[in-house]
Amino acid sequence: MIHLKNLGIGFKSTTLLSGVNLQIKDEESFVLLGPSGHGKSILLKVIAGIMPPTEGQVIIAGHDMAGLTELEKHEIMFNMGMLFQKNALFDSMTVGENIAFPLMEVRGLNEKQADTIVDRYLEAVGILEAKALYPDEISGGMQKRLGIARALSLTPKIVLYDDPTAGLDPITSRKIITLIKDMKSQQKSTLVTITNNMNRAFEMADRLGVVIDGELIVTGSVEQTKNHPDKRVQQFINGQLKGPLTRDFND
Amino acid sequence: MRGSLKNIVSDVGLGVMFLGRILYTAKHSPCKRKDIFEQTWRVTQQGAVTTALAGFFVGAVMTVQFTMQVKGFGALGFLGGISTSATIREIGPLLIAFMLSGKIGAFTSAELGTMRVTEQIDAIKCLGANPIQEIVLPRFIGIVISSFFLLAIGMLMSIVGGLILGVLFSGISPEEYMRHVPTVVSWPSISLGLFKSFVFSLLIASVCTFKGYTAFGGAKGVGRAVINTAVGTMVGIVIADWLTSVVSEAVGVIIFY
Repeated sequence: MIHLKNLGIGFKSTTLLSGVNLQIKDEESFVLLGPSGHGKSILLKVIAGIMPPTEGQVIIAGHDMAGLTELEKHEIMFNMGMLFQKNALFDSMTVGENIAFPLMEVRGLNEKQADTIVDRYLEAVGILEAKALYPDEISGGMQKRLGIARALSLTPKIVLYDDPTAGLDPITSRKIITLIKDMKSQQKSTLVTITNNMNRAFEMADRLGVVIDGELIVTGSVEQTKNHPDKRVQQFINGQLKGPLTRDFND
Repeated sequence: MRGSLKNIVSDVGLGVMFLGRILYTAKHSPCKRKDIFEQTWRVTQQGAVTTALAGFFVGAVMTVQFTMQVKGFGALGFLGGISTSATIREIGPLLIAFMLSGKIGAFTSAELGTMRVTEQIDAIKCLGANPIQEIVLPRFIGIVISSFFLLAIGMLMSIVGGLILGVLFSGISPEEYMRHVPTVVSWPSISLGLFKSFVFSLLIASVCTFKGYTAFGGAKGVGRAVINTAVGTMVGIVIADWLTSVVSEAVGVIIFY
């Protein structure tokens, strides 16, 4: 389970996130929405352990991340996978090596063992034929699939997706979401996903939350979100030009 | 002025802390030998030709300069020994360090900086691996080890360059040029050259990995990291050269001829 307690993050006089409280149950799919630049990706990075919070606690599977040694943190992170917004693929490695890297370096598998798993995951995401190519030699959709395969190859209990359908056409986008849902049901993992595609968000969410100005509003189920009383939430999910989120535009 | 001095002090402090992290990782979770070998080979390969060329011409220049001096004392026979000794003790390590800084330091800084701004380092962390162990430590050790290989290549070529110019410019025979090399080039001279080379390579490896690893702000940030690496290592090398000379003299390593 993921538990965020009164979480905040800020640099000097800038507050990026404040007073974030959230509990995500095992095997739940939680979707984060919100305008660009309001703190969604930062929240995901805090959960992933990449950015330490300046206040509050991040508790993963009962462990307060702040109280752990580097080695203990790595143990927790073994059970987490993340797809980055721009994929963050290792550009000096081939598609196959991108997945083999964590298997060999983290799990300590030998080349043959890793190769079997690499083939299985590349086949699952439908890019086995690109195994020997480099990331910049494959399409954006294939890079996304590779990122997903790499994030899932260690069979993590928690998977974090930062805008998995960003920049993809509607059909590829649908394929990616279907793939994520299939992999979730296979691996019985907990998902935290950022997306600004409302259809995809409603399709995959058990619960949703909206990050606005560094504040997380947990809006609940799809129906509860659609009928949420907060005007900012309504403006965002309906994509209205006028409202509290666009004061400059209103003026 | 006060602000920039504060920044320099803070930067040096952070750099030393980063070096501490690298050494801690080296002790507690060392990287694979295969990775070190790969990096050592890469750095040596990248620097070999330019180091050889520079070594050749430095040896040649030293010989031309010393010819004027020793001719006046009628000691042309010592030309090879003096020229080689000066190159091994001082010019050689300094030259290799500048070569390493300009080529390998900038390359490593840009490579790590790009990995940082494209979130590849964060991805390594997320996969449960230690980025210092996986990508920084092999490069750090690779630079230090390869500096000795490059020093050997540079030294050898400087002797060749000096010898050729000695024969062509000073009218000395090859046998005469080489005759006093073993007597003038003493073990303390070689030790000092090796010691300096080791200190310079440590400095370059620390600065370039630190600047690259902590880069931020996209392509501009990577560019800034490379410039800071170049400036930091150049200034650092000159200061370290002075310090190593003073320290060596103080502990009596140098034997003057």
